[in-house]
Amino acid sequence: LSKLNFRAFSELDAFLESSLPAISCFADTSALFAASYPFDNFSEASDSAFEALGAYNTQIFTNATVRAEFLENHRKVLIAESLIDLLEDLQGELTGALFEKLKSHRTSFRNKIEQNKSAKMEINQIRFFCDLLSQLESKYGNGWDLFCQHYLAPKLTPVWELVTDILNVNFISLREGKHPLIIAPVNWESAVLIMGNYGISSADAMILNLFLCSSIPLLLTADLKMAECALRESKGAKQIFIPDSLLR
Amino acid sequence: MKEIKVAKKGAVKKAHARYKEITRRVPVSPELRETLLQRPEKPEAKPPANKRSATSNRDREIEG
Repeated sequence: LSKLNFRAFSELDAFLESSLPAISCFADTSALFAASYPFDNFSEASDSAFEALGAYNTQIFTNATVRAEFLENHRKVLIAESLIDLLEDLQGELTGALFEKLKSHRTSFRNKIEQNKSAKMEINQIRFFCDLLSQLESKYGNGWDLFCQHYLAPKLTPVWELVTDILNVNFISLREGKHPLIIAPVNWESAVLIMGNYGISSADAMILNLFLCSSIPLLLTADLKMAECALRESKGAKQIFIPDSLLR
Repeated sequence: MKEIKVAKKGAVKKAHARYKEITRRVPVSPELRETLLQRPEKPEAKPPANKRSATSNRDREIEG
């Protein structure tokens, strides 16, 4: 599939100008994560894309599946960062396996940031620290639960507000009856077919299915696989915008 | 019908600044500190073993 069929974020401004009056746009998890997480590889690219959307008063939409994935991504970076905070708070007091594992995690996290790799922590690593900290118990509870309640919960709970209150993204909910932008039935069969045809996750297939069932003409994504599937499935009927760096 | 919001310029910079604010480092809580820094209790002293160790046997052989 030629990358020429995609559109770059840098073309968004000209595209929106030629599409006046304003059109709507769907933002997937990768686009919203980059717009909310300052250390994401595509954070600068998302800034330029949202500037263009803002200049033309574009209505941005998303859905519940994006919200779930967005929170999951933030969980993975916030746990990674919180474990480093824990190490630095207890530096000089911690000893043994927990101390060594936290130091190793900090080195690995810093290397990933330096090499512009994703800061998201792997699930098996999260489980490893969950098991390790859960073994430590006191009258207050187990170490993992206390760690999460102290470091993670206060940071994770307000993070979705960045999307709704600052980025001004609108939510398409199918629970509240028919949404005016949904023009075809959103059903499981179509989502499973997308999943089967491209081997993508159920969450990505559900997001893409909703976008395809809508009248929204434009998708903003920083996920190349998602962009490829959207381009194939929409058969040229929709415009798929990705960061310029993914086109090179 | 909910009011439909529109994108605003400067939103990503504002979101990134707010992210840094909400994820600002907080010092560890006393409860978590106590839980993680607890030391295992010392095991009770074991009664002396009846069986001699290999070392003590060897020592006896040297002495003897």
